[in-house]
Amino acid sequence: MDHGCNQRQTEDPAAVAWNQRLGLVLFWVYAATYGLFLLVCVTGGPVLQATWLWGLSNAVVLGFGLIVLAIGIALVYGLACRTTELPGPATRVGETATDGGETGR
Amino acid sequence: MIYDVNYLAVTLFTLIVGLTLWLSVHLAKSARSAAGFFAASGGIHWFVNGVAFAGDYLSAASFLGICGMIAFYGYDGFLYSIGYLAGWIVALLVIAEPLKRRGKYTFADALDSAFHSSAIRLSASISTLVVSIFYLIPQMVGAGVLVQPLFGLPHWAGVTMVGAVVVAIVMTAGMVSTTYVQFLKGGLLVFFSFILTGLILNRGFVALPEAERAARLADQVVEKTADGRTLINGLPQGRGPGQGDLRPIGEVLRLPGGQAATGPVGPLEFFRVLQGSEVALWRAKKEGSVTTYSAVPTSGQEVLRPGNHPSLRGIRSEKWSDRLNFVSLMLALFCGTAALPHILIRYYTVKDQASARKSTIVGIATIGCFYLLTLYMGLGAMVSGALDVTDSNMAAPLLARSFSTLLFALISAVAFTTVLGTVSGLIIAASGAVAHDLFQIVTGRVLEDQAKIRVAKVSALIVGLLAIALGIAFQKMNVNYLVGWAFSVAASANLPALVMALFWPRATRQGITASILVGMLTSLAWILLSGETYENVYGIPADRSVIPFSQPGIVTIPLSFVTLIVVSWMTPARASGMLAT
Repeated sequence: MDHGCNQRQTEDPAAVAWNQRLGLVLFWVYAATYGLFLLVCVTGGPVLQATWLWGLSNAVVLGFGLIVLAIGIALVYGLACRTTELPGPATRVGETATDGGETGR
Repeated sequence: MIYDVNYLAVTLFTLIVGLTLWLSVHLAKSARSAAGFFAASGGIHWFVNGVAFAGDYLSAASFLGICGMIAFYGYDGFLYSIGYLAGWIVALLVIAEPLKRRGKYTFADALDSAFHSSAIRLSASISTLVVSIFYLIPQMVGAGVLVQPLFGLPHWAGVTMVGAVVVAIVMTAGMVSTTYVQFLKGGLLVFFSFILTGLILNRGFVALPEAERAARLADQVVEKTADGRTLINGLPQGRGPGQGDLRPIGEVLRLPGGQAATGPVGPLEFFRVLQGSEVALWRAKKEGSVTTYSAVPTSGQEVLRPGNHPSLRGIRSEKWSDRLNFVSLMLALFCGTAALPHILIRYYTVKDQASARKSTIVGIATIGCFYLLTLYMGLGAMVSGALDVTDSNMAAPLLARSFSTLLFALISAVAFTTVLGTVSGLIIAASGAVAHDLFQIVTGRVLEDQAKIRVAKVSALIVGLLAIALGIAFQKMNVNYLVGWAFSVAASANLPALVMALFWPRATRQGITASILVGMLTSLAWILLSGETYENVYGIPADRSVIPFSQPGIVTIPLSFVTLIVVSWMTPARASGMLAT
């Protein structure tokens, strides 16, 4: 069985920056939704028991909604991300003495 | 409850253990270098790695603990499902790619890549060990829980068996075999969860006939005598004449419209029916050596509302500290996933950042599907009439037994692989931290590849033995509750350091080190001094604790961030910054 090699490639800084920005935006969207859910849990007990969509209690709808939203955000991020690796020489993990790009002290 | 030895389950269990050991021996040649042993040489396909993420993460806590908590307390267990999955968003969107870019074998690599500081490596490796051991305890407890009904063996025997098998897997082929064991387990777990959910929906709900109520809902009394015997309702525990055993529980008392049974229900109808029903939830009352279990009629609406479990009752409390306890737990779950060392090292088993991202997405989809099913499985167990009133952790396997013995055998075997997969990931993370970081710093010796692997194997053995001892000592605790501790420590010790090291150019090595140590020590101290630990571990009344609430995250995670920022500002800046780009 060939387990290949762990490669370090040159990356496109613009693509890396795009992915990072997109990641942070989506992270804050999810974090805010999660925070709202917690707020509803600690302040709105009766709200959670009430039924809203499809005759289900809000607790079930919100809980399922958060899980489905996480999967959705992951898929959106996967589709919208840009390829960061540029074609070029690669180094194998285990062959380098240090990690690339860092500043030593 | 007395369990019969299930020979079919024993056979399946033996086959799975045999398969995993064969896999380990077969893959041993792939782990002859340090890169192969610790990171599978970065050669795992992203899809396999994604499912292995699920196998690594969906631990005994997720399967046995959450299902058990839902089965006994309703919606509360599902809050853990929501929190556990939410943490993956942090891992995917914030941590995955920069961590992959900066690291090699352990998460300390990424932390330290800009600093080359032995203090960072030392603190990160200690934190890895602490988190891994905290996380190992519930897995081992889960193993003991499973082996009792399978083999009719005591708890300690199950814990020892799992410990021995996992140490063998890790010592033979390191991360390569661990990955394929986790892939196998992740796939099987999700597949059988779908099967179980389908069967639950197909069975629907059946109300307890009026004529059986008195007998099925009578109190059950368990007494431990001074000479070590167990009395059930005043009779010695057993199945012979003059002996007694606990009845299985899990009753629907009333269905909407007074129906006797619903027949098959749809996925949404399942909840609508439950909301309009009344079920029996069983509550324990302990007085000295006597525990009395009583059925409490509870409306379906109440079951689907958070705040029934003792540790989450604070949601409905008027006291601010009780509510903060809940928020603190959910914050730890959100921040903890991306700080678990055994999850982080899986980013090094793929070849590049794109693969790290794609495998995380596969992991989130797989794990998310499983967590959606936990509510069906837990509630299905609640009304299965098959539960052991003394042991919430057995809810999922006993639910399976209510359908067929074959399914029970399969689910038990899958649950066992669940423990194997997670424990092997934890042991390899801990042994990597020792061999790659701790050992070299403490001894001052730089190890060659082969020496590093030898040290890792010895470490795996030692951590395995420690896990066995702790798994026996913490036998009685709910596995899901124990995992909450591990998340709190990981989120407090590792996440602030990791995020700031990757994204804040002004972070210094002193700041990173202080943050890890402060986060780890304060969260540990908080947990050990909390009311829940007083009551559940030390046997001291919870109100004697000086800590206002039990979950530390809401205090210790910000404290760790603040420590990092303050110490970094007080110490000289780096020559040039390192950003996550």
